Amino acid sequence: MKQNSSQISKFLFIAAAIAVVIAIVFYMKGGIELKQIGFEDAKEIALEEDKPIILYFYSRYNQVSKQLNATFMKDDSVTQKLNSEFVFAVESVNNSEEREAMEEKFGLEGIPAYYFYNPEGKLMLKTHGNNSIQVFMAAISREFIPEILKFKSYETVIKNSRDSGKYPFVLVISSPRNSQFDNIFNRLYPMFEKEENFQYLVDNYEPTILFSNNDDDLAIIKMLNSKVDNQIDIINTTVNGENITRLDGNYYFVLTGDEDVRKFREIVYPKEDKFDLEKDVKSGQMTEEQGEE
Amino acid sequence: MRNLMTLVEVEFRRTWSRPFVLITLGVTLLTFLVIFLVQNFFSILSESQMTFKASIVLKSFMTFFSTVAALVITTGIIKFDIKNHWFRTILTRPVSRDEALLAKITSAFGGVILISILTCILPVIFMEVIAPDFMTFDIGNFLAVFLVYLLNVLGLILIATWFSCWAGGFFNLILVLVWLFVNNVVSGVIPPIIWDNRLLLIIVDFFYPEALADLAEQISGGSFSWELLLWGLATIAGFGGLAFWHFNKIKIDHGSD
Repeated sequence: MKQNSSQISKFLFIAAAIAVVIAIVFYMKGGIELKQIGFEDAKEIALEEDKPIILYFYSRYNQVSKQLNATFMKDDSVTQKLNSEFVFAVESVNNSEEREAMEEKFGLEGIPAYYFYNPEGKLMLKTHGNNSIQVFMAAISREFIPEILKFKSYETVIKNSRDSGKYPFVLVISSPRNSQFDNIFNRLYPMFEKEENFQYLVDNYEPTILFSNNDDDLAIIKMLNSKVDNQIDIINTTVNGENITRLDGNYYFVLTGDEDVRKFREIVYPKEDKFDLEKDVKSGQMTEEQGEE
Repeated sequence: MRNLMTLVEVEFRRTWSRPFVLITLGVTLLTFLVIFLVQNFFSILSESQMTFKASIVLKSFMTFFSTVAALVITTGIIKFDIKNHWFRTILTRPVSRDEALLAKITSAFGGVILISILTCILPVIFMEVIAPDFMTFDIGNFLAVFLVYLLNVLGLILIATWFSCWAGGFFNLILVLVWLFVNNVVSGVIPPIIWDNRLLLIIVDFFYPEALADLAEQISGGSFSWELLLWGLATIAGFGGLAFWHFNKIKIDHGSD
């Protein structure tokens, strides 16, 4: 049987070549450039308006960033939420010089990346890679997230607690640094799904939050760990015994893991009222010895 | 043209054997049943103010059903018909190789369109009927995503067809699956390392050509990219060209004997 030369294949090869050339021209132009403010300007506004900062790193040549900028970042409901609840800042990183500068300044580890800061400009949480998009989406869709990101830094809370007489409430969120499947904010949802939970916490304690994927927070967690016989499990999310500990004359509520979420609800949601230790602490009946146990 | 239509009809009848029809209808009914059984879940999501665009739900369905349909239909699409002398029989008639292959690809694509309508379009419409608050339905956006994702599946069919010109038996399916798997590894591992090098990123982004799948996602998000459309069309034309070129070069005379 005779072998033919295909007319269709010639036409298709020419069409493919033309399409590739034009596509490369489009590619080299890069994706959409966002017009938001940079981080330094955002810090001033955040302090003035008492709003947390979301800092978004992207590259105009990264496919995921391009998709995000063309769709999600142009969505009215997203931009409305970002502008009302947060100060949204962007840093565009398009070449190796810019990459080195951002790595040095922010410890940038990948693109896309979302960093979350409290109004004082203290880094709360850094996420990068595709998973960071899920964290970002959770941040702008859950009402309690902007409020949590307004929590003062650990140092400020310790200082304030001595002035106000309220106990510090240290919430430790453990998460591996490069976790691809762990949406940290969704894990907080069971704790704060009821508004009164949050309000009770703010009214009665000096709350702060430590994320183990943040180097500064990790140092504090390690310091706390050294004082509580390594009760805080940084990598896993298992329960580590007693959750209330007395250190340096203050009570620290250190919570990690799913079981602790239940206990957390019992502590901060008074109507559930199942956690006896909570009553003891509030009424000052808990002794230093009990705490150290 | 008449030859082509006749050939497409014959190919379609060969693919849609009674067991194949029964399996397709079974999968369709199962999809409807699952949607019906989990309708309360949609209501819970609606109550927690989580609504989805119908086009995004459609794309999720197509990512599974249309892709699996294309892989099943194109398994050994060329090699099996050389082995059972089908091509030899056809090509003894006044039919060119281009026509024979075009009929085969058209039939395969038609089959995928039919399966996509049954297992993706109709179930999503069913979801809209039983849980209207769960999705927002924009018919133009919905159809655009359907069309673009079908073109993405056409690219997959052409890739599998070209592989089947030189890979024996169902080995073309294995090659496609391995390629898809390696692509997942490459696209997950490499970009975090070289994300500031735009030339290398081209290679990673298009290591496995799925620009039209990305375009479908972008369209469902209310945007459009000429770059992705052109990459996608280049995929279809490039692998189509390879399939037709290779099909005209292979020896068809010898079958299983």
